[in-house]
Amino acid sequence: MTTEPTRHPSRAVVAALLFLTAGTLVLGVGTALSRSLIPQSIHHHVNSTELRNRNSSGADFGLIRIRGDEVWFVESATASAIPEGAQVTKAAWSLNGRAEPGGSFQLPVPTRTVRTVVGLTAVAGIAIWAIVMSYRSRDRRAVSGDEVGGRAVDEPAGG
Amino acid sequence: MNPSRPLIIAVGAACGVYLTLLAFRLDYLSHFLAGAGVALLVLVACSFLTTRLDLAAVGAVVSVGALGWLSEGLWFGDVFFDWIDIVNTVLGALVVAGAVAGATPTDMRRPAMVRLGAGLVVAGFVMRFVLVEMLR
Repeated sequence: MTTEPTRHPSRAVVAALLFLTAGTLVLGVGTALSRSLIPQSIHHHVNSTELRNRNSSGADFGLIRIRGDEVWFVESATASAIPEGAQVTKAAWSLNGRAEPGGSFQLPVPTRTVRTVVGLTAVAGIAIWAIVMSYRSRDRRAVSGDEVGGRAVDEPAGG
Repeated sequence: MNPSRPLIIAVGAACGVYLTLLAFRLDYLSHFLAGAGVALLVLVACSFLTTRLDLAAVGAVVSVGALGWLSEGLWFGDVFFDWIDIVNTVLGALVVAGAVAGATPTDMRRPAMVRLGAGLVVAGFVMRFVLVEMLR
């Protein structure tokens, strides 16, 4: 038996960590999806599109400026497909749109968005695994005698 | 419990995911490493102040998220405010918090934990400001 104070994560803490993980994942996936423009319906005049490179070799993101100088940050492949100087119309959850002038256009399959969503989900899964393993380790400590009478040894006897 | 092993396994597995699926944005990995390192250093500091490292783990995640949000807004969001950068930073903190939430203060006060935390922060900054710049 050890005299080392032993604390295990409480259920409330585990729930809080899992909630934070889920919320973080939703934020990341939502942001990544919005940059493919696929979930959005578009009815805007596009002033210009621009490709930029900040964090990798090759252009890694695009800027779309619409009427009123509002700027959208999108995947570079998506920015390449949007016609400049045209009234762009696209339904939500569709790859196909129309530009006036310019005719129809098609957004590319967002491979980088898919990889981002899968990657963030995998890392969130690793975080969940770590949280669950940490919670389950208290049972192993109890079996090995680290805890006294089912109670962590640094908890007050009356508690 | 020695938390080093699950910590290294979890961080290593996450690095593998970033290098295989997200290699086109290495800055995501740099944000993850920095978030993990800062969270670990915060938890080492908390181990001198409290025995409730599980509560400290939640606080560390929230602190790292707030710090990431501030730094993205003030320094790193040079072209635009990137929420995915913050998501990667917080995921790093969550992986570390999950791995060490069941640790004891003595586990966390080991010099190896300080070296690991500092090493993760340095690796994140080197990746972002040296490696990524070299690849541009």
